[in-house]
Amino acid sequence: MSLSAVIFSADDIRGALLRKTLEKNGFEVSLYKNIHAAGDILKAKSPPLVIIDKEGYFPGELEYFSSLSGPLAGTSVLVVANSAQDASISLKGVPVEWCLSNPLDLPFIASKAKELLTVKPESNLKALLPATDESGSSEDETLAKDLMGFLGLK
Amino acid sequence: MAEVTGSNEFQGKEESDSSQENKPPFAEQTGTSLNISQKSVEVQEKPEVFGGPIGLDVGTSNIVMAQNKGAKIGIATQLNAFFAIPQSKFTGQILSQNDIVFFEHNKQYYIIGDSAENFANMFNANTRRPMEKGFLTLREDSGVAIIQAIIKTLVQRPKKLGEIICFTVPGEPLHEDHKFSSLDGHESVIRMYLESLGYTPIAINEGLAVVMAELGDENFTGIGISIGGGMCNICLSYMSVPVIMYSIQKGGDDIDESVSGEVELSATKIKGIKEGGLDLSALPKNNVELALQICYTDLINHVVRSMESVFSSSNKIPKISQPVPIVIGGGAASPKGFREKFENTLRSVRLPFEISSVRVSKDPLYTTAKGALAMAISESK
Ligand SMILES: Nc1ncnc2c1ncn2[C@@H]1O[C@H](COP(=O)(O)OP(=O)(O)OP(=O)(O)O)[C@@H](O)[C@H]1O
Ligand SMILES: [Mg+2]
Repeated sequence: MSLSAVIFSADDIRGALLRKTLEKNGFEVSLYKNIHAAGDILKAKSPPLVIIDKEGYFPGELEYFSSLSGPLAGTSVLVVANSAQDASISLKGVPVEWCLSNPLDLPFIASKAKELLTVKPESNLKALLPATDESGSSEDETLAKDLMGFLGLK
Repeated sequence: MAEVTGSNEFQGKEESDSSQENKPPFAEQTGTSLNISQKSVEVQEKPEVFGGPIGLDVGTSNIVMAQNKGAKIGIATQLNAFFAIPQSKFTGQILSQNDIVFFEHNKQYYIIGDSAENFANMFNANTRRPMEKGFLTLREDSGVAIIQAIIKTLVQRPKKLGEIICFTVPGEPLHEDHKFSSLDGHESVIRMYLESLGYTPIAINEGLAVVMAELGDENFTGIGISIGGGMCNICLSYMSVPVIMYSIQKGGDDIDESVSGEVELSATKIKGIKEGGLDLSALPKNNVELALQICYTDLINHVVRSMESVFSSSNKIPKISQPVPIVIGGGAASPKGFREKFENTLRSVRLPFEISSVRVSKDPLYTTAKGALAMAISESK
């Protein structure tokens, strides 16, 4: 299976470290700084995994990200943050995991990323379904939700 | 939606086969063609043009060019120094007839590179330098023209327009002694000149260049240090990503000057003695050797203590669970016993991660140029 991920990181070094780590682990990675472009990026790439490195982003930027549960349906989200509480991003119906941000535990993040894509079948739903519309109320999304419900995933 | 592309990290094409799933990243292998540390070096009298990517180390004392030459690495060097004499038809003829490298500028003849040192010795005078403590100096009116002319003796126009050339730049100094010349200014002067020759220039931090040259087997993870003439550069790299880079504006030249101030011999004389086979592991035989040993101890202490304070106070360092290697390049790391002295000093400080080994690179004077070449090759793929 080809692995791919989109990373959002406001910090050049942390972003480069995350990218390098995932690439070394067989992922195809796209790295972005500007979180406001996330809507377009998710639509264009439909990545099975999004990693968001919270450090350095403003609350408003994170709020914008939280509004993306539509385009993120079927995608796993890994939040890199200082604590579980800090990592809580409300994304309806989207599985969110977190990893410690300081210090960055890169081998752990890599294994978590792989686990998210290999263990959780819902992450593969995107591949099974036609691309979803970002409006969040499309038929496709309803179908995705129904399917998840059917599979007992949420 | 601008995607962030490679910063200063190595873009080598590495295998990422899924059978390596459970191996820690350090254990991964890197394409052997990029593992430059195993290649032997051939120093060329006159730089030849082979085509292909180039590594260029722009140092305070030496400028070094590295290029692939079959199974070897071709190296050409030039002293980063000059000697100015008033212009006249007669001197011009003499210089040309004797194969002395010079150029005309502001009604002066500037004798450059290795020729400058020969000339200075003849006149019992000192050479001057376009760079000081790692950066272009503003003290020399024609500094920019001079450094360009010296680079030109090593780097001709590329065979293929847009060929990659990677050139070294220092890290930001911890304590800024240089008042005017900034890193950005220095970098852009070199960059613009290389561009004007027809290259695509890419800057690489000097400490990272040491990592690129020497730590291929360690997955480009570890600490690269260059102890040069004007400064020391330190870089902590994780899988070729330069996590921490900084410099200290002290190096081999400061040792020469400090010792010279103590023992009433010129700095040039001291440099000669120092390079002539100083042994830091043996008892000093005279006052010059004693002074040299004291200065080396000071310099090593300074570097090691800076590592303790910079690394311990950084929140950028990822979790490093395996001990990391330290590799040291740069001409001033050449003396016998340097490695042991460094290693012993290291025992007196606490770093936030363990060190697996300390070693001095194979060709300390050429290490950074080789690392710049490794980067240039990977960027060309
Ligand atoms: N065999 C040797 N023993 C001791 N010192 C040496 C030896 N060979 C060269 N050096 C010293 O190494 C220094 C030059 O090293 P190098 O060429 O690596 O510096 P540089 O790259 O020009 O300078 P920098 O990196 O500081 O800008 C000089 O101080 C020189 O005296
Ligand atoms: Mg140097």
